[in-house]
Amino acid sequence: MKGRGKAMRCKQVELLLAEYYENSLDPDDKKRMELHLAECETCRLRLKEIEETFRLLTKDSVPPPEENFWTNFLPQVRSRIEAEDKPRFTPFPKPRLAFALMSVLVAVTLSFFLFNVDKKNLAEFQAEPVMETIFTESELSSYSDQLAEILSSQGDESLPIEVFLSNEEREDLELTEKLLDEDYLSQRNLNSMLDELNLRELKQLEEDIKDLQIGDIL
Amino acid sequence: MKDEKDSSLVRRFKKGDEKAFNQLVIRYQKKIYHLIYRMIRNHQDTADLSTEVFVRAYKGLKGFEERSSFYVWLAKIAVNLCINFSKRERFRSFLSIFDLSEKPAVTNSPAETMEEEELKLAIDGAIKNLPPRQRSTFVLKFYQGLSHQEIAEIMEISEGAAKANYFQAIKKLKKLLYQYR
Repeated sequence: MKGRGKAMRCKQVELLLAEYYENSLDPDDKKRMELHLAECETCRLRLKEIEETFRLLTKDSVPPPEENFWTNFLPQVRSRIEAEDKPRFTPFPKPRLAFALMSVLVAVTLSFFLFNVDKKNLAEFQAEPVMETIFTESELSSYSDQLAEILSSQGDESLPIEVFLSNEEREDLELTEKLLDEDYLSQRNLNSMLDELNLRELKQLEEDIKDLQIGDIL
Repeated sequence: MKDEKDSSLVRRFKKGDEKAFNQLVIRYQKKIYHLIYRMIRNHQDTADLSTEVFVRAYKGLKGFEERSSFYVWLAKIAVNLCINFSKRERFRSFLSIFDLSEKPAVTNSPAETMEEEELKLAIDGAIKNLPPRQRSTFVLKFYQGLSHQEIAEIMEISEGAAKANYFQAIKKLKKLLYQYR
């Protein structure tokens, strides 16, 4: 122990009193303990308390079990071992396997619901009025024809429509024209173009198209 | 062979000799029973747990690497079972606060005098009052005579921690049994 050879202090002695009483200290510690006890009344008192407590605890005996307990003990252990060795039908013989299976099931169920929610969200998103839901392809095509017809009847000298429009309206018109472009329709690039717009822009576009009186403008 | 060493019996069992295991049970049944009784303090639970110790020993003996003595290994099973049992009991006794039905007093030997009975109950209460790890350390050292090193091995703690547990257990017992000294 620490401080070997030096005189012991009360705190050190207190820690070793039980071992001293049990005679399990090494000779050096025992000698130093005895030197301290010879001089310290407090520690002698503590040692006495330990002696008395141990004396009480020694009186505590284990009551003998019933008469044939020991005769039956080994057979009982053996029958328990045999009983546990017998294969029992359990749907999940290994709890870890059952747990793993349960986790997979939960994960699949959750992902199923989450997937459904995503689909709903997607449906909601798609339900947002975009060009294709306002005008069918044939309608767009007919507008395109009308536009071409009107423009050709007005000739090259006619004033461009853009002159009467504000900047915003002009942009909308450009976009509408772009959307009405046959190439766009034939290539089905409408969606890819709309994809580039965010939701707010799409809503704005929808409002603008609703308000846009193509015939009046032309 | 009556004095055959534990290690020899263990090896025989590992080779498939079931009788070797029986000999180990007979050799240590009382010591294990006493160890458990000192911690649990009632016969019925002690009997059940003692059986459980040997059933678990049977299952695990083939994997026993003999780094410690057979008894230290066996005591480790017993102590772990007792600690888990004590934890469950603490929870049950907490729940029993709400159970108002009267419980019969358990006495093992009616011939005991009142004084002895009172002392026995006081020791019962004092030991049960120790936290499970201190209780195990105290029983292993005081009643079973194991060294701090062996206790450290059983409890999977350092030797210093085993000594500290023992010191704390004695300190509490001294306080709890003060009036009976």
